[in-house]
Formats: sequence, C-alpha cells, structure tokens
Amino acid sequence: MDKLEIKNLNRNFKFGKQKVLKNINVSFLSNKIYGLFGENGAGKSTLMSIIADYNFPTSGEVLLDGENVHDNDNALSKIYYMNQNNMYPKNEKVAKTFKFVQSMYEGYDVNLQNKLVKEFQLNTKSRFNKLSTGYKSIMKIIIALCVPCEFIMLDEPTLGLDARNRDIFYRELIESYTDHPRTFVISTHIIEEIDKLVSDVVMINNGKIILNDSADNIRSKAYSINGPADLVDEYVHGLDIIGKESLGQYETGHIMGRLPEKEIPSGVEVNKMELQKLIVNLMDRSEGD
Amino acid sequence: MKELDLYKNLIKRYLFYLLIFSCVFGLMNLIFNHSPLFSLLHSISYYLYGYTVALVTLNYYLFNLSISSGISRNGLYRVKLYSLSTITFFINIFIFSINLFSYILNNKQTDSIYMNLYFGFFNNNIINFISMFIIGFITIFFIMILFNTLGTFLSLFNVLGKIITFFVIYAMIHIGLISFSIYYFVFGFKNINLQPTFDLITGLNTSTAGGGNTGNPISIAITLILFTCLLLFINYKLTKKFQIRK
Repeated sequence: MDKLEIKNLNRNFKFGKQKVLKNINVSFLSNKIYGLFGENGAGKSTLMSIIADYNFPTSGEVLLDGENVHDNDNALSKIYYMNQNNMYPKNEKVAKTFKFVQSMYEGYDVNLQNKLVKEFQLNTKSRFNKLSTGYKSIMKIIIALCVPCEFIMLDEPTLGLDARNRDIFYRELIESYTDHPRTFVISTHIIEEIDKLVSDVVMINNGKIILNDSADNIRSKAYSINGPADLVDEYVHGLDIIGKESLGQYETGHIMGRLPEKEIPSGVEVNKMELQKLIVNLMDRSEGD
Repeated sequence: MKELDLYKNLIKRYLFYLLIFSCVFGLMNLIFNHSPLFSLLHSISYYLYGYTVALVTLNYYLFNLSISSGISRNGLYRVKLYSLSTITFFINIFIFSINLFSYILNNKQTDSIYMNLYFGFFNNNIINFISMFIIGFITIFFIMILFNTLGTFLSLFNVLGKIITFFVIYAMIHIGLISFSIYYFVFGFKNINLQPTFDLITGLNTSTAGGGNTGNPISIAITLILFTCLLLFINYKLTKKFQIRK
C-alpha cells in the first residue's frame, strides 16, 4: 500500500524571515480523496509543490513508501501535480500538448481524454494561450484525470470554471476514482462543493496543520447550536467553542467535540455543522490565537 | 523511458525549428541578396549556429516539461546532455559538409577557422578531415554547454535578477578585457610572458614564422574538453537548484 508521508517539513522564504510551512507532519494514504484547505497564502500550494519536488523544503522530507521523493524518478513518476501555473508550451495547440503528455505516460487514458474533451466542449485545435482561464483549467484537469499516477494533486482545479463545468469535473472525478481508485489531494476554496467528495480533510493555517481527520469523523463531532443567547451560552458552557454568531437575542455557537449529556433546552436547536462553516470557524479561531 | 520520450520530443522540436529557420533564412538571402551558393551556405551555417545557441539557452521551458512529466532533476540533466550532443552532432555535420564541399568544389576556398589555423597538421588529408570533424564537434558542444549553463544560471532568477546578472556578466567580461588590454599594451608584459601559455592552450605556435596553419589541434581539443568538463559540473549543480516560479 502506497503512502505519502511528510515529516517535520519546514519551508522558509526571504532568507528565513518568512516561514511558510512550520513543522508539517501529515500522511496521505492510498485510494483516498483528501481536501486540503486553508486561507490564501496558508502554504497549500507550497506544500503540494514540495511533494512533487518542484520546490525544496528548508528542512524535513517527503517520503513515498519510505523513499525520499527528492530527485527520485521512481517516486516522482507516481505523483502528478496540477498546479496553477502553466507547465506546457503556451503557443502549442491543446491536441499537441495532449499528445506530448500521452507520449510521456505509458497507460495514459486516451479514451477518457476524448470523452472529457467532448463533455467539456474543449476545442483541441486552440492554442493554450488563446484559451480562457476556465478552459486552461479544463485542459489541466483532463490531463490530471488521465495520467496513470497514484497520487494526484489538484491545486485550485476549478479556477475560472463555470457551474456547469464544475459539475462535470466533480462527476468525472468520482467516476474516474471509482474506475481506478487512487489518491487525490484537492486544494480549493469552494469547500461546500467538494465536502461530499472528500474522505479526509487536512487544513493548514499560517503554515501549520490545524486539522487532519476523516471527513466523517469531523462531521460527527462538529455542531452548530442556535437559540436564545442565554440558553445557548448555558448549554455550550465548558465545550470547545470554535465560533459564535449573534443576531439580536439569538445566538449560534459552533462547537467541536462531544455534546454534553444534559438535556437540550427547549428553544435550542442542535445541527451538524457544514464542512465549509467548520473550516471558516477554525480559520477565524486560528487568526484570533 | 520518460527521459527518452522527452529527448525524442525535444530533438523533433529543435530540428523542426532549425529546418524552418534555415529554409526561411536561406530563401530570404537567395531572393534579396542573390548570394552565391557557398557564401549562402556559410552564412546559413553561422546563423543556424547562433539560433541553436539561443534555443539551448532556454532552460526553464525544458524544466517545466520535465518536472510536469515526473522527471527528476538528474533525469533532466541527462536529457539536456543527450539533446545537446545530438544537436551538436547535426550542426557539426552541416558545417563540416559545407566546408568539405567548399574545399573540394570551390578550389579549397573556405572560411573555416579550423582550415585556416589547424588544417595540415597531419600529413594525411583524411586524418585532417577526421580531426576537423572531431574538433568541430568538441567546439560546438563546448559552446552549447556554455550557453546552456548560462541559461540554466539565469533561469534561477526572476526577470529583474536576470537583467542584473546579465549586466554583471557583461560588465565583468568587458572589465576583464579592458584590464588585460591596459596591462598588455600600457605596461607591456614586462614581468609575465603569457605567450607560452597561450600557445599551449590553443596549440598555435605564434612565436614561429610561418603560414599560421600549423597549429596543433590536439592541444585545443584537450583545452576545450577540460573546460567542457568544468562547465558540465557547473551545469549539473545549477540544474539541481530550485527554479524560481516565473
């Protein structure tokens, strides 16, 4: 079973003044879909680029099945990183770029590529730099879904995509994953759209991992409690409150952990918290710390 | 396998660009300048040489293709060496053929530097031509590696860094040449005689009278091989470095 391990990883910029990643320890297991969340500049893209050996860590290491991925052809051939930058010749036609990637990867799924080209209505005769931002993302998405790699990292895959194309992407991602299970690490800000897709959540804030758990586990212990402020305050007293919202006399308290044994006061409602809400609250709390 | 595929892809691209360039440049010269055949071929070979040098300087493009295909930096270095060797081979074949035909069909009239400086060192003409081919390969490969190393070095910087580095290199070369000239012409080399060193590294024996084409090509070959090895090492170290995102 393949396992991608990140151990004691640090990354500094500007001669050590700016610490982008601080002692990151996380593992990505095979055949899972991870959501990698965090604010802009939290360090998600830097982490992904270090995993794919585009970027170097200041200290620490990335291991694939115990082998360091740095300058390791065998390990790197199992990792694909779809990043926000253009890595392919910008003046080349999309069809030619597809052909190039196909020649580079034995086992590249040409049938899936053709199917996706039709579904997304991508004009393969266009040159890459003539495509809109959305279609640039689509070309990269198609490549990422068709390469035969065991670890696929998608950095903002839905950048510039309209609702229809985002929907196709999510559907095709699930279909592709069901046909050929492999690990996806998806970094996006549109959390509400992928919270049903991800099996695990990793959240980075200020270069540190503040959440790393299965999505089910997180959902089972994150609650929103709303009702009259005094009753909510009394009920959540002593719990791990990660956020509060007030509207007049009413209040919503967001908590993590087990609910108290005591009876829920009348007028107070307890609901499972949406992943997006949880992430936002955790970010806000982290800002306050 | 990926390295081989990238190499094939790259060579196809390079050769395609070079072919297009040669055809366009050749046709333009033929139509507008009405150049004679050998003069035209010679000018094509020089411009082709220059164009190839510019092409191999573009390191970041190759880095993008290789890293996005899961090829390590060691693999990238190997791809660079294979492709530079192949391109060198093709350019050398082209230049050598022009010089050879020029020599045979144009009454030995050729503007080849080798012909003017080293041709005739060996008693046998076949050996002279073989030596010319080998020295040609070594020289072109040295220049390719030199410019690729420069391109690799520059690709470590952003646009501002590139401009500053370029001007620093340019200034250093000029300051070096000016200092050397002042020292040579003003102070007249009273204490240090560089002539034997120059003769040793170039294989030219300028202190003796003669036609000037009796230089020893083996000396220049050894010099270029040593410099190429040094550049290969520097290129390897630079290839392994972090490439800044453009």
